[in-house]
Amino acid sequence: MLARYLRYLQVFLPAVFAGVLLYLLDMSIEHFDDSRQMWVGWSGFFMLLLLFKFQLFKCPPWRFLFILLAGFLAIRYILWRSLDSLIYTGPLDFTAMALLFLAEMYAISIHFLGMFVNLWPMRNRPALLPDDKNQYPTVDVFIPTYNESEDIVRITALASTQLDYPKDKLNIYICDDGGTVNKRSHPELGMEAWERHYRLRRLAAELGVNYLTRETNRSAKAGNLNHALNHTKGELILVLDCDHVPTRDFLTRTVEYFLADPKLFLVQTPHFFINPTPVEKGLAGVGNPNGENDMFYKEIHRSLDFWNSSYFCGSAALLRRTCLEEVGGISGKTITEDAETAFLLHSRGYNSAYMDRPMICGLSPESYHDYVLQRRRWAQGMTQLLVMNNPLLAPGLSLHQRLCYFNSCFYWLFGFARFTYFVAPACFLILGLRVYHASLPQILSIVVPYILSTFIVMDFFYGRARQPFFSEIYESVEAMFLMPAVVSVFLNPHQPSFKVTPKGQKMDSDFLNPLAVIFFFIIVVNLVAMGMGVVKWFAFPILHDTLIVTGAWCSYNLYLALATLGAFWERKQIRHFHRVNVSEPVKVSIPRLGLEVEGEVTDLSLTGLAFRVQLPFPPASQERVMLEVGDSYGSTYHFEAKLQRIITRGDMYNCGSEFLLDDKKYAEAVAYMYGDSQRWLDMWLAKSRSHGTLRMLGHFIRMGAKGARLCTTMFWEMAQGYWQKHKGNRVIKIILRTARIA
Amino acid sequence: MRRHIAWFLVALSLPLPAFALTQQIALEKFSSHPVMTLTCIGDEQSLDIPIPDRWTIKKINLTLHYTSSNNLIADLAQLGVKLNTIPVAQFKLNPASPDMTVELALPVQYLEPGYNRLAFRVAQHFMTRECERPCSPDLWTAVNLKDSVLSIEYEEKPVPLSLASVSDFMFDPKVFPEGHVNLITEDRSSDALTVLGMTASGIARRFDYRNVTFSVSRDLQPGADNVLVGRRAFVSSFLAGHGLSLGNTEGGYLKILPMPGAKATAMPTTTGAQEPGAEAPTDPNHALLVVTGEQYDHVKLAAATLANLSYGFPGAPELTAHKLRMPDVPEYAGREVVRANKTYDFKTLNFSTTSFKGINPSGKVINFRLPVDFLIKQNLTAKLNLHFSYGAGMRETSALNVVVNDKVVRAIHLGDKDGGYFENYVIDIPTYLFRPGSNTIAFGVELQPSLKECDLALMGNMFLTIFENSSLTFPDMPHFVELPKLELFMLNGFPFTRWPDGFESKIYMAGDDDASVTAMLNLIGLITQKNGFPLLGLQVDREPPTAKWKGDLIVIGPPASVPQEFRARSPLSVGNKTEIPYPVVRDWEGEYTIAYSTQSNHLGGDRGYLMEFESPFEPGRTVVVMAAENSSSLLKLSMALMEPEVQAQAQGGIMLVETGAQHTKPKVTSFQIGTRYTTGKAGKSSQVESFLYDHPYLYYVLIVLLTLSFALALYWALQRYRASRKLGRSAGK
Repeated sequence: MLARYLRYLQVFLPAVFAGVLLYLLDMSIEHFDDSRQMWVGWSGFFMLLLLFKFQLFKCPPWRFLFILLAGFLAIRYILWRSLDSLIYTGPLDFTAMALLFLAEMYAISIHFLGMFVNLWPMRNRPALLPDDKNQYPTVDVFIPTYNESEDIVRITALASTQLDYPKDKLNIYICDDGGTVNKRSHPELGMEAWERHYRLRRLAAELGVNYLTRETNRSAKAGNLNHALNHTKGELILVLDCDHVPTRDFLTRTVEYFLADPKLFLVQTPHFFINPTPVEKGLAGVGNPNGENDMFYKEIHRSLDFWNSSYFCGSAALLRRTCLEEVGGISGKTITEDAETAFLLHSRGYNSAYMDRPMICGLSPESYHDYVLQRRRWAQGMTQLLVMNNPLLAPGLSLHQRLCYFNSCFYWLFGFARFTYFVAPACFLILGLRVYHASLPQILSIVVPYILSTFIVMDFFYGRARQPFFSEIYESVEAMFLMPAVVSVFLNPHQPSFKVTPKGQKMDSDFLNPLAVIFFFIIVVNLVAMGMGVVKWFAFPILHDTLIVTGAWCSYNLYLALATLGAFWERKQIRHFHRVNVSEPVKVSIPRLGLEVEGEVTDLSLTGLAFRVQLPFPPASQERVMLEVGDSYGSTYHFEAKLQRIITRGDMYNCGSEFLLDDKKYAEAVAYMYGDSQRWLDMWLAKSRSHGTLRMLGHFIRMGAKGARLCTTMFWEMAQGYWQKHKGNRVIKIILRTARIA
Repeated sequence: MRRHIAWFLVALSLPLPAFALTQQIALEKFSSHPVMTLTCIGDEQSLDIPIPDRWTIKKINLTLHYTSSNNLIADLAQLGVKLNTIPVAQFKLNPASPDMTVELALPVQYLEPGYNRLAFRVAQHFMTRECERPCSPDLWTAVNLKDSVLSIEYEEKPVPLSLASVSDFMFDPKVFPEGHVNLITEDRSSDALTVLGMTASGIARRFDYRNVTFSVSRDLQPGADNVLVGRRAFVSSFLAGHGLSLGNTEGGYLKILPMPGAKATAMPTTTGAQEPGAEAPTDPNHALLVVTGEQYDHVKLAAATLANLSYGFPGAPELTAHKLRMPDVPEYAGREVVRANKTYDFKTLNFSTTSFKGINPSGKVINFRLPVDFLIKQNLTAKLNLHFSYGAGMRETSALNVVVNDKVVRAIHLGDKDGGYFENYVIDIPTYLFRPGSNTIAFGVELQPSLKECDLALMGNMFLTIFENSSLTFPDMPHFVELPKLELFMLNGFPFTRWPDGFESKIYMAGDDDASVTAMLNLIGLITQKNGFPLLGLQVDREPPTAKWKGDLIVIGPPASVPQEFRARSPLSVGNKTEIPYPVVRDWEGEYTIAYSTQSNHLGGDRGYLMEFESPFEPGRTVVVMAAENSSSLLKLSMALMEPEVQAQAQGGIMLVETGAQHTKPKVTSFQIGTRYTTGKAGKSSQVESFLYDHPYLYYVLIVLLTLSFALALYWALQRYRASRKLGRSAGK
C-alpha cells in the first residue's frame, strides 16, 4: 500500500512543482516590467553559466537543477513568445510570423525533448561473460553487402573470424545482395554480378565463412538480413555492415546482457569511423575534433539507453533471434529498417541496451553526394516512422519511449527551422513583413538569455562530443537538402526507397561541391537584407531597435552561411586505407645496420604504419625493417616492412613504412589494426573538447572567408569559361556595351 | 444722511438688471505656454478667448507685452492683432525698442459669445537688398502671455427661466476664472449627501474643464446660482419660506426658478423700518434650480437627469423625470480616452480637416488619453492611418513630421513636385512611446518653395491638408498597475473612475459641517471634470465602512475620524505615538529613503493631506484619505487640489498640501511611501500575485526553492527506475 502511495507521490510531486513554477513564470511574463524581466532573465542565465562551470552539476541530482533552470528560461521564452509577441498586423505578416513561430516552436520542442532524453545518461555498464562457456548462446554474424569492394568485405569477414568466442558457437555469413539471381540474370549487368558472386564465394571459402545470396533484392538490406535469418539458426545475430570491422572483444562484452535479461532484444554499440565525413573534413583545422556522429553515440544513445529506448542503428549490434522472428524479422516498411524494427520490439515490451564502447571500425561517406545520400535516407526513414507509426500514439510504448522515439524522428525536420531562420530577418528588411514583434528591451531581457542558454545547454549535454557551433554548421549543411526529401515523405510516405551509401570512394582533387550554390543564395539574400537595413536605419529612426536585432540576426546568418560554404569544399581522398593517428610503442629492427631501437607509432593503417625513432645513421629509402608492435590484450605482432618515406628532424626520423604482407600476415595485420577496441576507445575519448568558443568562432570566420574566396574563384572561372564559349553572342555584346557606357 | 444715501443707492441698484463687472486675466490662462513665439518671415498663431453666454461685454482692453529680435528692420517688420480674423491693430517691430508693452482696445462688436480667436501675426525681415533665409534665427517675435492681460468689462444677462439654460448658460465652461454654485440640502444623511454628490458631479460635468467651486449652506446664497436638493417635502417647505412653490409631479423633478432676493427682514423700508414677511425683488442674473422628488430614488433620478441636460431642451422651466436610461458605460471610458482595439477617426479626436499653409505653418496636436492603468507593452504598435494631400511645386526637402509625446516617429517626405494625395498612409507607432494617461500626437509641417533664392515666391501652392477621416487605432493592453500613485488619482480620479460613473466606489464622510461637505463636493467635481463623466454611481456614506465593502473608498474628514483599520494600513497616521515618515535621500529613480519618527502629534491648521493605500477589506482595492485638522483646512485643501500646479506635484502614496497665508501658492510635498500593491482590470487582484509582485526577492527565492525541490523530487522519482535499467553481472553484484 505504502509503495503504491510512494509511486503516486513520485509522479505527483514533480507535477505539483512544475505547475507552481509555471504559474510563477506566467505571472512574471504578465506583470513584470522591463527591469524585472531583465533581472529574471540575466540572473537565470548567469546562474546557469555558474552551474555549468562546476562538475558537481554534471551528475544527478544537481544535474536536474541545471536542466530545470535551463527549462525555466526556455518556458519563460515560450510563454512570452506565445502570449505576448504574436500580433496580427495583416495576412502576409501573419503568414510569415506564423511560419517563424512554428519553426521556433519546433526548435523549442526539440530543445525540451533533448533535455528530457538527456536527463540521466547511462554510463559505464560493464558486463562480463560467465566462466562456463556452455552457457554461451550461439551467434550468427551477418555481413550484408551490396556493391562494396571485395577488399572491404574481406577485412570485415576476416576480423569476424578473429572474434573471441567459441568457434563452435560462432557462424559468419556474407550476405551478398550484389550477386542475387536477379542481378546475375540481368542482360547487361549480369556478368559483373556473376563475377562478384564468384569472388565473394571464393572469399568465403578462403576464410572459412558462409556465403549467402538470394533470388531478388526485395526489401533491400532488410530483405537481405531476413533471408539470412531464414537460413541460419544462431540464438543471437550480430549485424555488421560490410565496412564495419569488429574488434576481437565485441561478443565478450555484449553477449552477457542477453543472459542477464531474457527480455533484451538488442545491444547496440557505437559506430566508430576512422575517416571524417566531407563536412568534418571541411571543418578541419581545430585540433582533433569529434566526429559528426559522436554526439549521437557518445551522449544521446547513452541517454536513450536510460529510457530503454536505445534502438538498432543497422550495424554493430547484437540482436536476439527469437525476438526478431516474433515481429517477422527486420522490418522493411521504412527505409530505416533498423530503427523501425527496434520500435516494433519496444512496442512489444522488449528491452534494449547500449554498450558505450566502440567495437567496430567503419568508414564514413567520402563525398558530399554520398554524405547527403546517407543523411537523406536517415531523414526520410525516420520521417516515415513518424508519419506511418506515430510514436506518440503507437500502442505498447511507455511514455518516455514515445518521447524518445518522437524526438529521434522529429529531429529530422530541422531543415524547416534552419531555412526559416535564414530568411526570417530578410522578410522584414527586404519585404517589410513584420515577423517578430519584440522591442529591444524584450529581446535583451527574454530572448537573448534564452538563446545563450541554449548554447550552454548544448555544451552541457554534448560538450564532450561536439565543439561549439558545429551543430549549427552540420544542420546548415544538411538543412537545404533534407527539406525536400522530408517533404516528399509527408506527401507520399511509401515512396522513398533504400539507397546504399557508397563507401571507400576516392577523390583525386579538391573542388567545391555544386550543392553549395544554395548557400550563395542565402548569402546574397542576407547581404541585400543588411543593405536594406542600413537604408532603413536612416529612413526610419523609429525602427532602430528592430534594425539592431534583425541586423545582428542577418550577421549571424551570414556568418553561418559563409562557414557552411567553407565546409562544402571537398578535399581529395587518394588513400585506399585510412590512417589513424595513434601513439604506441614500436620496436624497429633494421637488419642492414644491425640496429634495434624503440620508437613510437604515430599513425597506422592496414597497409603500413608511420613511426618516429632516434637513429645514429639515417635509414635509406626502401629500407627493409622489422616492426614489433602490440595491442591492449598483450598480443605481439611482427611485421616486415619497407620504408617509403623518411623525414629527418634532427636525429629523429619520421618514417612511413609499408607492410610486406602475405595472406597469413594480412590476417595478423587485420587483427592488429582492427582487433583492439581499447585503441578505438582511446581515440574516441581523446577526441578534443572545445578549444574555446571564441577560437571556434574565429576559426569558422576564417573558414567562411576561405570558402567565400574559393567559391568566388570558382564562379569567376565558370563565368570566364562561359564568356569564352559565348563571347560572340549578341546579348553578351549588348551587355558589355551597356556596361561600358555606364 | 450718508447712511440714507447708501441705502438709497442699494435700493436703486436692486431692480437694475445688471451692473458692470470687471475681469482681468492673463493671456497665459488661455494657452499651455507662457510665451508665444512667432518665427520666420511670416507667422500667425492664435488663442481662443471664451466669452460666456451670460456676459454682455462692455469693453475689452488688451495689454500686450512682446519682445522682438533686434535684428529686424523696423520698416519691414510688424506685428498685427486680429480678432476673429479681422485685423484690429498693428505695431511696428522696432529693433531700437525690442521690448514693448502696448495697450489696445479690442472692438466689442467683433466679439461673440463662445470662443473668439485672438490671433497675432508677424511679417518680419532682417535684410532688405539681399536674399534672406525665410526662417533665419534672426526672425522672431515673442508675445509674453504671462504679462499680457485682457481686461474685460461686462454686465451679466438675466438668466432665462428655462431648463435649457442649464446646459450652457448657467453652468458654462466659458465663464472665467471659475464657476461657483451654492447647494442647499435637506440634511446630512447618507442619502442626502449621495444625491448632493450626484448633483454636484452633474453640474461639474456641465462646466467641462472650467474649475467650479461649490459651497453648501442652509439657506440661499445671494449673488450666486443656487441649487436646492432634497425630497419634495423639504423642498416645498423651503420654497414656501421664499414665496415660491413647486408644481404637482411624480418621479424626479427639476425646476428653474428666479433667484429670490434677500428677505424683507434684511431690507430697510424707505422709512427705515422693516416690513416683516415682505419679499424683496428677485435677482434676475442668477437662478434657483430645484432638484427634487418624492423619495430619494426620485431625487437621484432628477439629479441624473440634470447631469445629462447637455443641450437646449426642454425650453420649459420644469420637467418631471420618469426614467433615465443611461448608455452602457464601458470600463475606462471617459474624457478623451482612447480605448483599445477601437479605431478613432481624427474628427472624433477633435482634429477636423486641417490645411497647413505657407512657409511656416503652425503645427496641430491631437490630445488623447489612455487608461491610466494600461501596462504598456513594448512590442505592440498603434496604427496611425493618414489621408493627406499636398501642393505642387514644393522643394523636395518639404516634410510632414509626426511627433508622439515629443518624440519624432516619422518624417514623411513630400517629395513629389507635382503634389500628391495619399490614402491609407499607415504609420506603426511603437506603443512604448505612449504612456498611461495623457498623450499627444503632433503634426508639424515643413513646407518650402521650390525656388532659388530671391525668386518670386508664390505661397498659394504651399499647403498640406490632413483629412479628418484619418484614424488612430490603439492595440489592446493588459490593465495592471502598481499603486499607490496619487498622480493617477489626479490625472483622472483613478481608480474611482475605472467605471467612469464611480461604480463600486464610495465616499465615507466623517464630518457633516458645511465646509466638510463642500470639500467633498469640490473633490467630486474635480474627479468628474478630470474624467469627463458624471459620478452617478458614487455613494456617500456617513457610517464608517465595514469589511463588507469590497470596492474603492474615499475617506474625508479629520485624521482622527479615519477608521482604525485604515489607520493601520495608511502610511501616515496622526495622533498619539504614531510613526511619521520623513524622506531623507532621494535616489535616481525618484524614490526616497524614509526615516520614521514615532511621535505624538497634531496635523495643525492650514494644511491637509491626501493618502492612497490598499484597502484592508479587499486586495487590489484602494483607499484615498483626504484629511485636515479642521473643516476649514479641509475646504482649503479641496480648493488647492483644483490648482493645476498642485495636481502636477502629486505622486506616490502621500501628498501634504500647506495652504497657509504665508504661502502665495499651496505648498505640496509628496513622495512614494507605503506598501505597494497592484490592481488589475476588475480592480481586484490575486493576493498571491500581488504579494509576490510587491516582494520580488521572495519571488526569486521561491523560484529557486521550487526548482531545487523539483530537482530533488525528480531525482527521487527516477532513482528507482534507473536501478531497473542496470543490466549484466555488475548489477547483480
